[in-house]
Amino acid sequence: MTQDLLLEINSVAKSYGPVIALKKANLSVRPGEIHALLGANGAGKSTLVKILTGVITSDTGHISLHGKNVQFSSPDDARKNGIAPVFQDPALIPDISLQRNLALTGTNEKRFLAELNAMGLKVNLNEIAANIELPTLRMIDLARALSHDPELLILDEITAALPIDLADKVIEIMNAQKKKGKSVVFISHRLAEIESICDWATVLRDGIDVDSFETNKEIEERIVSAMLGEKNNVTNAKHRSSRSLKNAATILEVVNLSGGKNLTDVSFEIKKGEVLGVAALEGQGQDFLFEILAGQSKPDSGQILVNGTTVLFNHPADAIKLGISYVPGDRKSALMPQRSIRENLALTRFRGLANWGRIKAKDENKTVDNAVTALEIDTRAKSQVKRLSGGNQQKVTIGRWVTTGFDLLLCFDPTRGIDVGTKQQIYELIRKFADEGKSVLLFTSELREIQLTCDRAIVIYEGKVQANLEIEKCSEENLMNAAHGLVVAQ
Amino acid sequence: MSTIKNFATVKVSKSIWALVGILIGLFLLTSFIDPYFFSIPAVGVTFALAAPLGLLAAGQTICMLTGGIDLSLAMIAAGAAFIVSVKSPDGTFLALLWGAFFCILVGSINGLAVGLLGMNPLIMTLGMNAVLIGVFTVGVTTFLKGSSSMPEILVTASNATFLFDPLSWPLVIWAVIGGLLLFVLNKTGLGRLVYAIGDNAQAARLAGVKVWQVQWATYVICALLGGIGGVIIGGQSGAVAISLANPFLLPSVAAVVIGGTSIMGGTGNYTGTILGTLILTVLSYLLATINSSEAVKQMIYGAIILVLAWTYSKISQNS
Amino acid sequence: MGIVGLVLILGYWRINQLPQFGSYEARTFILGILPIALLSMGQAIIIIGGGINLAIGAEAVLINCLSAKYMAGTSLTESILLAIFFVGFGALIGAITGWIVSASGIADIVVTLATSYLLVGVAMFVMPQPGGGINQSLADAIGGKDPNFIPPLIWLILPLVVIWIPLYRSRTGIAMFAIGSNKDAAFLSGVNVNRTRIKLYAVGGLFAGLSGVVLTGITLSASPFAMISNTATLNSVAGAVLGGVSLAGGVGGLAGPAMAALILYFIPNILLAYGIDPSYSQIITGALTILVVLIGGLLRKRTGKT
Repeated sequence: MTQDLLLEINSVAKSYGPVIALKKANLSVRPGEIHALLGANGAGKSTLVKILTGVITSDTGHISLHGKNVQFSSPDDARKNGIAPVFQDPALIPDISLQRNLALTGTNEKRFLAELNAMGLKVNLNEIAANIELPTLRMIDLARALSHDPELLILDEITAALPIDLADKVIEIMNAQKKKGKSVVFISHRLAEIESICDWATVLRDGIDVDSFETNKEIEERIVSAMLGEKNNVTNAKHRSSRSLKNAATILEVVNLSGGKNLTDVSFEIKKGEVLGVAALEGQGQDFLFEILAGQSKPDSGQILVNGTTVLFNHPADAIKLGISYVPGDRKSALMPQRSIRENLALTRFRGLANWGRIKAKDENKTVDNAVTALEIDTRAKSQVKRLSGGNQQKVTIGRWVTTGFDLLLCFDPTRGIDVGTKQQIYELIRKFADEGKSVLLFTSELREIQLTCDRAIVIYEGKVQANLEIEKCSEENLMNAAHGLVVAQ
Repeated sequence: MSTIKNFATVKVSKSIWALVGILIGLFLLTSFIDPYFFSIPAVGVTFALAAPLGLLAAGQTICMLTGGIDLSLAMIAAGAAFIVSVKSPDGTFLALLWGAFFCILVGSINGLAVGLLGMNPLIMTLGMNAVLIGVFTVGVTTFLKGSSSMPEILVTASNATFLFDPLSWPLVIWAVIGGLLLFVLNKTGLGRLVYAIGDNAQAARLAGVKVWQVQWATYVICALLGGIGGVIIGGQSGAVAISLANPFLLPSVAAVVIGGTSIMGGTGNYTGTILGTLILTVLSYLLATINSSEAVKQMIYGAIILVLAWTYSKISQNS
Repeated sequence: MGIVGLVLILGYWRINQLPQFGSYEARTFILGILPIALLSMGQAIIIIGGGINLAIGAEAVLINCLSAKYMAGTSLTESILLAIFFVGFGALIGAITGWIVSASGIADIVVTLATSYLLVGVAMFVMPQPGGGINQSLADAIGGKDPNFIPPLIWLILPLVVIWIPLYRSRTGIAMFAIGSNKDAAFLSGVNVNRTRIKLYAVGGLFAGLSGVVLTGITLSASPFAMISNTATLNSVAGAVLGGVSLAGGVGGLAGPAMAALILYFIPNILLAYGIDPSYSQIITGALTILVVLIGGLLRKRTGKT
């Protein structure tokens, strides 16, 4: 017998012209349940959430809340019905103060401050939203959602790139909602989180819900196989080659680097053919470190040596000339949305004035095709890169450097928000680069990835290198401890 | 031989066909009302008159592809014509060189301000426009004192036919430059970079592109195109004045928009602009033919731009 | 804040040039800037909301022509009613413009480019030759009877206090800042972007209508020239920008543009008093606008970037 369901989504479908985003999706959430919504990028997850939160309307199917049929015409509508979403990009207006943001959404200030206090955070309501760092902003968005006392909280991948302490707070909040008899739809790619927190999981694939089950035991394999379908080629990526890097040359050395808001004193080195992992809580200075190495920002003090020579970068082109290429954490800052895959992949070839002349089509075709093959980029949506799935877009971002060649690839959280299958491909790609004698500096917010892909790892805490760990010592526990500033055996 | 093949392989999209249809429709309508229009000499004159607008619109196209705009283009055009006429006693060729120098100077200031100082192109070119008006108004009575008419040879050339009707020198110049621009935009690295920085300048920079260089080049090319257009306008009318190219400024932007280039940058092409230019030129002829009052002309002009832009917007939304 | 300083410096300079400064001179100042100040304020609101209205000058010219045509030879009551009607009509034109932008999906610049032609055309149709008139009492109430400078001063400050301040504080006002700052975030925050945009252009049109009626009151006539409307539009953008409004949207206020209009007024008059060709003022104004935006932009940039 169907108990009293809080939310029932029945046979919902949505198409954009010839593109079918949702074929026939069903989802049932009970009161007091934490329900995981899983699926590869392109499976229909974000479309389903958009329909549920009133951002778009479905073509067919219906949604019922507490047994009553509902149709949401706007986010405001959905919110009034007790559905509160919190997205990866906080829905706060950047140029106006928090106070005015709250007034805009009709949020009770007292209630909001109480929720924020419970998270252990304090903010000045007169602060302009754009001046607040992303993790705090996400928590503010969450606090705002909670102030409206939602029946159903939808968290769309917000634990990604949250420091571990705040991520824990989010989990606490989810459990608190559950105790109150409210429900949460939790979207995440972090299987460990899902296993430990959620009661139920629904997996979407190709616009259909393919599996829905209780999450009370080892569910990782069931989830992954549901997401990937028959072509279950989840190989164990623990195939790091055990070459010895002892005699390899040092290609990059960083000495006492400081700058930006958080980087105080970082020193480390990378050898040729080495994959060096970087683990850190949010805001420990690692993003500025990457920006400095990419040539995008200038350090306050310290030295960078490439192949033994001190260098100074005034422009990303300087770094690229020395073989250092950057794959930024935010895909939007690396891709040209309206241009084709080819133009995006070939962009790096037009760096210098010498390349302003006629394009040699044959050469370009060769290198572009090489990159597409090497990265297994799905070229069906040829015309505009903005139509690609997140995973494909990430591959194009990496592929731009495959066309030009590089010695050191700076990857900042490359697998953030990407489906499991593509993540796998990226891990293998990184190992392939290493085998080819290239180096990779990899920052990831998912600690398990370090053991999967790296040869060694450094942990940054409060702008300094807290630990330098050989791969055997890179257990998630060790990394987590070091990330919190604790001393670990090295 | 292969370069000619490259010229021909410019992709033609649905919207281009729509524009061709509109142009042909307007042409037939005008011919219906004024049978004289349906003749080779008339077509020739139309093309010749469209050429300066086509050149100014070419400059706007490249600016708008980078996400910018040049509101000083009319003054650059007029200024170039002025300088050419003032310097003409020194010889026509030298005068043209001075004009080119002026364009490169102003274009460089615009381009470097946008590229290196991060100035918003709307405001920068607006300010430059005011500065140029001031400079030339003052200059006319002082350091720019000189002849106020274009050199003989340019006047003759601007109004002469080239070999045979409907070809004329302005048309040929427009065709050659237009072809060059199409080549640059579609087949060269510079063209790719123009689209790239218009679509996402930050991404281009991270990929190692010196964005400011591309912007500098963009505004200089734009200014040069405007200068050539201004010289032709001056030649066609015979006299120069500060307000020479003012009637062309807003239409130059309109032609680009009608042609399908987004004002936000990153998408569009010059082919559309060419068609937009021809459509606006035929439209002007049509309005002049039906002898309407100035008021009606303005209203219809505005309505047509709105209708075309709206139609185009709906077409691209549905694709 | 630099604007206030600049205004005070220029004001002091100008006042010193004059043989005497009394209420007559003050009235001349305020009358000189009132129409453009109102227009700059209207443009400022639209830019704050993420749009731009290249036809705002044409809107003002149209209202100017309409009001001058129909207010000629009317009684005071009739004139007042007509004035209110035409200001409202300006708001209506604005609302329609906003609706076209929302419904068509065409960029604001392009839509208002087209409407600038349309509205000038209508203005020419309404009044083919300069002329028209207005009830004298109403004109005095707007422009102040010589040398009374209080009425025009009231018309400068009143819209600011009665329209802008309540709007700024209201949810609609915040919504306008929101759509100018980030449309997507605004939508997710429950803002109806299209409806807000219509209201945005309506308020801008209201100010344009005010500008037009005030112009009729001051000049006691109207002239339908395209060049005037284009110059006025460009000046309104310069005024807004000099007044601290960011072209990116979401940032700024109305007091700045009102004061910036003073700057745009003082400069040519100061030069004229020195016997310098006022065309130089164009150069200075242009360079000043560039400089102000440049400095504002540099101040906003974060440090440390290459």
